[in-house]
Amino acid sequence: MDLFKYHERIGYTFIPNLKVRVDHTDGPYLMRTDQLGFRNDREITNANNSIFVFGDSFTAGDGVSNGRRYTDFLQEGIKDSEIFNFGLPGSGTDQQYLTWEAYAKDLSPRLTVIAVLVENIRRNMVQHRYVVTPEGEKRLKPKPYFDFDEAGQLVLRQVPVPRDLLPLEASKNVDQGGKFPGLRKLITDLGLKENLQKFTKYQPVPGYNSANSKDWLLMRGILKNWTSQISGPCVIVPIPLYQHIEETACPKAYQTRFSEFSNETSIPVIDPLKKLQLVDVAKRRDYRLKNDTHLSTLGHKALAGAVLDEILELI
Amino acid sequence: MTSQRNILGVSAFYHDSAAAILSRGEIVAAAQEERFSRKKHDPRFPKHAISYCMEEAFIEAEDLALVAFYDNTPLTIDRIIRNSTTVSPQGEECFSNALKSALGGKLHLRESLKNVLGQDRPLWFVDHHISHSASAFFPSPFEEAAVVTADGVGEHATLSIGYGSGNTLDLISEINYPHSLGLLYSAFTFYCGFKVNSGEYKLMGLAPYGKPIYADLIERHLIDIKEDGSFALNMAYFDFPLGQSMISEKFCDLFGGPARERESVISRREMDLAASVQAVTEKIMLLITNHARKLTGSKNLCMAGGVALNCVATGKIWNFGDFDQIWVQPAAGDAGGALGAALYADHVGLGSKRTVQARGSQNASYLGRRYSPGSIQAVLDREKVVYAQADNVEARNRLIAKALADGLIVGHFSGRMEFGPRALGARSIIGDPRSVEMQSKMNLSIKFRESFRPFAPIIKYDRVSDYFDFQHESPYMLVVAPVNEARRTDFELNLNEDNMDMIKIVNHPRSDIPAVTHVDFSARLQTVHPEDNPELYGLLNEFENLTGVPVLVNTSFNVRGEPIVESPADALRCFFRTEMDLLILENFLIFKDKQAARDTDMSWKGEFELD
Repeated sequence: MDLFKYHERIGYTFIPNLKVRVDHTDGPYLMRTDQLGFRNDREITNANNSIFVFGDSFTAGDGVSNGRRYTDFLQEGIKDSEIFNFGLPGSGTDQQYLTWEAYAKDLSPRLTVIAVLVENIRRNMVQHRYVVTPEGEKRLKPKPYFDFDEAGQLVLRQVPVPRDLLPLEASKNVDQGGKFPGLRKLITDLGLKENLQKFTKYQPVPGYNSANSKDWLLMRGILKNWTSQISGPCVIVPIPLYQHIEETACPKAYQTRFSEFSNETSIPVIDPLKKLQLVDVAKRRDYRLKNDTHLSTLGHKALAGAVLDEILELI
Repeated sequence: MTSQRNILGVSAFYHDSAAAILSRGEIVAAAQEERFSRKKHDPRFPKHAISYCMEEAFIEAEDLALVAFYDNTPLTIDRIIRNSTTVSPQGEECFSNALKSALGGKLHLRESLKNVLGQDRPLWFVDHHISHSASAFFPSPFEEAAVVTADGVGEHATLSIGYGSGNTLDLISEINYPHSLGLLYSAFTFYCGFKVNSGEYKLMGLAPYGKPIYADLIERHLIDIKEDGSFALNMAYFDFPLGQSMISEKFCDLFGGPARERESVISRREMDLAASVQAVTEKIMLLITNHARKLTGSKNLCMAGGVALNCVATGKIWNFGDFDQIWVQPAAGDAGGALGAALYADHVGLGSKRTVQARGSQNASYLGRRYSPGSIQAVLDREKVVYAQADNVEARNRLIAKALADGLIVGHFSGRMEFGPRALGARSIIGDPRSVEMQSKMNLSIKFRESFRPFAPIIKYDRVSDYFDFQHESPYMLVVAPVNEARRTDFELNLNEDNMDMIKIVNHPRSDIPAVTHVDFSARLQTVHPEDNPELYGLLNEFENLTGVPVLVNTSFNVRGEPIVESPADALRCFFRTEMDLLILENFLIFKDKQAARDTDMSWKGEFELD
């Protein structure tokens, strides 16, 4: 069954009013979408008393059922506001910003949470993403993207987003999941990935290494544009990768960049990593799914626990 | 047990695998595997159907109290062993083949369930004919009823009489394998050149073209029928216990030669054989049900099992039987066993109270998936289909009614998919019943099937007696009734003609609704009640407003050999492969003549094994 539909500015959204049991390598999960096309079990009736959470598949909850995601666990701890999940799987911060523009710009929630999976910095830089068609063929799917004009202003490109999928050779500007995809696959297949990452002090998202990198400048630009337009309070939550949680990669670079951003803009940043690392490192493996890097129910619960107190302070 | 009392029912490994789910006693969903796998009568483990049921109930595996399977495997093995020892010396091979066929996936049932559910759940086994009986009685609108089931074979039983009351259900008597009314009918299905477990319906449709001249021969040689309807087959004429063929050489000798080759010309012999076995079947069913009336004292009758799909026989029971009310499980075949097993586990196993509902608790058998407008639009956009959108159902129905009155043939995809073999308007192809050519056009250009096969009428429940000699409701298209005499033409079928031109016969008007009047002036009725399907009832209203006729032609939305469509993508594919003029996907309207030219390659016909 189709899960997504075309959107001319965002590229795609979930199909509204879905009720689906999605097949997944870690077992099926139940997914419901609201009338806007986001994974919520209810509709927005009072935006002023709501918390909106934007993000990618880690926020939408790929691999786990509605009711078992960090936004659901947050809701258990926040009784006086309704939390709405605007997570869009496969999206970059650029598409999440466009999601906010399309669906939330005119609303005034109590709090807007921008949950940036730190890997999203890479997705912002590309113009296409890989998709697999219902017939099982790999294709390129165009996405909207931003860059800067000569005056340093952020400019939205490739909108309306072309509907047609492209053959793989049509573009090199695709998120490969990092550099050297072939070598990465070989190392993973050989079972050497984790040790090698530790040994080499692997940096999965080098775009954060410098405050002047193209990747960070674009991320920073998108976030500045976005947060400057939000009328109420907002907060940024960088969601670490499993390598950061399990200490096979160093988080310092991305933490530094978001800290700088907070100092520059006064937008608060909640960093959940420290609390996520409180449990024994071996147990943290259970924070992600067995066959997938997405958060497990346990991981979602832990993430909610890591940010709940600070969110409560903001509302 | 969880507080929600969620029970999953599963039937599999014979034919028509299916799943059904109950939540607090309510039938939430049920579907056949074939609709998802696109393999007709798919017998494999119904992983897609189970997944759909869990989706519709929106529950996790841990929320399931138990899984009920519709077959008692040790009893089935017992039957196979007994059968094999009686057919010595071929018994060893027979045993091996039968065991493989009967057990197959059952050996891995727990593992298969765990794979699709994600964890182990308690597994209960419910006898095959108890499952059928439960599927017939518990969803029925009766507080108490006689229950008759008949099919090919379960563990041992091939036919049973039972009695249900409240939340209890007991079997009173059985007829055991190899004496099987279902297998007798299948033997003639095979002999007449149709596919067993699929072509029985064709044989029933062919019967009115013939004379029952072999009925006496059948009763004298093949089957010994007692006054109470019980019977014994003369196994010298059958080969199915050996598992090689349905019939023996003796059978062929008796009826004058070998079985008809599939897809060859249908001769007078096949027509007369069809009429004959149909007459014998009707006689037995009438005797059996009347005996059930005596045994139980009930004026209500519930039926299930493949033989209960013989709607001509059911029509005879309505007309000549001893019952005031009859309810037939719409998924009467093995698929319905999934529902029956779950209901039996709930009411009898767990002792849950049963609440009888005036129209039954089967939700008019609309128990499959409903696709949201967003889901449909996503497919249409992806496939670059040109479409319009009606503002609401009323506007849509006005437009469809006009198209039908203009002679267009419409694919009608609306609401939740039906559970059971009949399309009841949710996944149907519909047309104008007044058209003389409609039957042959639909058969040859839309369904790509034999020209003789009749189409069924759907009619507003409150106008049924204006058109048919029938005063009841038939919401599941499981009753055949005659068209009112006043509406008939002077058409007379020459039952002595050796080489019938079936197209000529079919195109000869037989009533003022010729497209749904069979050659014997009968029709397989579906009455539509607004409580069951308000959209369809509204469409019949609109068509009546335009034409004065509250009737439409209804046939399943598929081509020959293809399972009925499940999804918008299936419907689109079928629409573009056939000469349908208009496709309705909920409120989306797709006119064939507005579409860009599509691939006209017909090689897709090889995808579906002919039935």
